[in-house]
Amino acid sequence: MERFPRESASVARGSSANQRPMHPPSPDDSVFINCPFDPDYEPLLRVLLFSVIRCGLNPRIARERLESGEPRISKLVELIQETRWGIHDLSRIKAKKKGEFYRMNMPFELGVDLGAKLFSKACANKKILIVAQEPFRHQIGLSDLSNSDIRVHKSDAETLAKEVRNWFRESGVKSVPPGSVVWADFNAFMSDFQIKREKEGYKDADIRKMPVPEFLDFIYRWVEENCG
Amino acid sequence: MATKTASIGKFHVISRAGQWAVTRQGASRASRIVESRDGAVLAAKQMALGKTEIVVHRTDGTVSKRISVSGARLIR
Repeated sequence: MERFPRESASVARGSSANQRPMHPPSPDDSVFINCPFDPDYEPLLRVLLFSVIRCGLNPRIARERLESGEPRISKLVELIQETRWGIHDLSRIKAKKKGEFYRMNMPFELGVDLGAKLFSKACANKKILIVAQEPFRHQIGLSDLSNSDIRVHKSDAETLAKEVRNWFRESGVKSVPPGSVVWADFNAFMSDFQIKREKEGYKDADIRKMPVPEFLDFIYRWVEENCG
Repeated sequence: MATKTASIGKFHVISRAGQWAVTRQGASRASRIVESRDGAVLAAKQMALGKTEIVVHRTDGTVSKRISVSGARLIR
């Protein structure tokens, strides 16, 4: 049973036409984002979300809503079913220091997404991008991905923006702006974002810890006002 | 939607492939590309005509500082 009406992205946008879609948009326009949620990754998460929206698609991420009563696996399955695209960042599959566990969530969610693509007719057309901080490191702990085409961002925001943009273009999305424009617009967006939030009384800590839905609303509004 | 650029406005000093670029907000191409961030700020000041703002970014895109300029004369 469908939990939400299936609408095109433009129809599903909020009533003011410049906010995050109120209902999940069409799966064809939607990108499942599977990435770390730690503070060190925040700069990359920001540019990742912006790049997806700037290329005309809609990011779907577990943090897009908080529902404590909802099992995480249910949310994960819903996101995978409602997206044609998937971006998976395996940058945290190695512990940083002795005694620290490496993170299994990202490889697990990649596995579920790949499984959906391989075994579900509804997801057979799914496009999947795997990115990582360093080349080959993921193969040590996840040798099943040997010979898979994995893009490396080296924790560099500009590189990640351009890799995501290039992947959309290579996958058939024709109306994407050049990578240098996506990156320049992201910088301009961050400037406007900071000015607007400070005028509204937000402090640095508020901005750094802003909930993802609020941040997404701001990106949609900025892109609508400045790029459309 | 995706092919248009942001409206023309202030200058931004941003990292680009290991170098530093001066861009005008909304322009599709960088105005100048130089080796250092300080060099890019200087180039932006030289390009500024009339009252405008130079926004200097970190490599992650966040804002490091803002400089108000009027022509080549530094206000702040």
